[in-house]
Amino acid sequence: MTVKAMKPHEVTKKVFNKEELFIIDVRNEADFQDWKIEGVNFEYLNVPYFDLLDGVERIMDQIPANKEIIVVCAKEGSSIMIAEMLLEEGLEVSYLEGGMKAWSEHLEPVKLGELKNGGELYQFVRIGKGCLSYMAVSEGEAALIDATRMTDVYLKFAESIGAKIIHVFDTHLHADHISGGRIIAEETGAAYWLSPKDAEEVTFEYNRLEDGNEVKIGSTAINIHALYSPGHTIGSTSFVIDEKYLLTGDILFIDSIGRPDLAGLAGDWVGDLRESLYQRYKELSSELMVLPAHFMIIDELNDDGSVAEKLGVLFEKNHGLNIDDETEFRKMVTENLPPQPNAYQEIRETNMGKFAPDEEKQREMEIGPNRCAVR
Amino acid sequence: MSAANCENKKAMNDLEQRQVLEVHSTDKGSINDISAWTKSCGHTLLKQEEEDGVYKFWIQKK
Repeated sequence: MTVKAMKPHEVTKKVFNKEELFIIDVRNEADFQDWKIEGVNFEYLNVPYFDLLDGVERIMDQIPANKEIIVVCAKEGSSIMIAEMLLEEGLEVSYLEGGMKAWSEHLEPVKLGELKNGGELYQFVRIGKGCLSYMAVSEGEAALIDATRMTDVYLKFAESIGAKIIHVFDTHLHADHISGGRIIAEETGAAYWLSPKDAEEVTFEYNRLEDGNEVKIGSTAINIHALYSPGHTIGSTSFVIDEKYLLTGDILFIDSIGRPDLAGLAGDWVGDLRESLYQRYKELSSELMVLPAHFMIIDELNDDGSVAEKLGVLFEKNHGLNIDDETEFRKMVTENLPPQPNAYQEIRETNMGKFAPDEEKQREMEIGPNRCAVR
Repeated sequence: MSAANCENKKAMNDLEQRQVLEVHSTDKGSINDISAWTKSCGHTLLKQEEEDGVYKFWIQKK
């Protein structure tokens, strides 16, 4: 008997379905504390593999007998070794195929709903890192928003549903992950759109994304309307799709709001952030379904794995939208900010085209959670 | 993971206190692994360097 590989897709389904899973994470403690596989009903045992080289006997009594067990490490090698040792002790265990590296890169497409005349909107949930990207499709044409660097996933998905990508957008210059937008646009011939305010230092050609811009996909015209909403970055732009969905980028999340400090001085942009959230968004229909560029915690996932909530509900429940006092708001978004995302300056430079790291370096830069919000 | 670390541990057992073990590995992950491992065991990582994809470590036994 050999140990079984469990694919990131299978683990993702367990997260979505709130299943139970016992995770033996054999990375070192600091890495585990910083970032792990999150699931509402997941339990954990963290023991570095190098403490188990002489045998796994000492952890046997910490492993439940009646639960599904998966061993996880950074790249899969040591998890296979430990899983084999556990198997020799008579335990049936799996290991995470590709390790946390593959977990960080896995994208799970979730259909959000229908657009006019048979169109569809999909959310790509990057479950390990909390990044969300979107594909709107109508009559064989697709628009892509906030694509990650795993460009193949979008290209294959579009192909599988018979759609051609014609527009690619980034809501802002990202600081937590490397955008795949420009590469996808180059490969498909699509137009690549970015706010010129975020693109002052970019080294490539792009379409200027400005307030009020509209593009259409499909002959029946799914309308994608750009709404300037600065605050996370000075160029941050939201999109209203089909008068039904509001893509907020990193300005507004389900249970938190964007942080203003990753691309400049928090103090300078806090006013913009407040105006975007408390005035511009306030003027929109409360029926719009908010679709952010991130989730922060696994509790923000709906039962189908999607991350979406009505704007009206967020105005009631999201703490960041309910701070009447401006001074208090300023304090919240400029003080006690969470740690900055790993390598965020290098990531920004990569997204500007100034720096072209190889794939391994890109992976390393993106390690860990996204940390783009304040709560 | 680095298979190197398995060998490390065995080699370390054969050393006297304060003796230094030199380890070479071709896995970049060993930087992370070896520093965490030495820390947890109380050994001292005296030096590390990289040359043409080979990662070298000098570890002093506690």
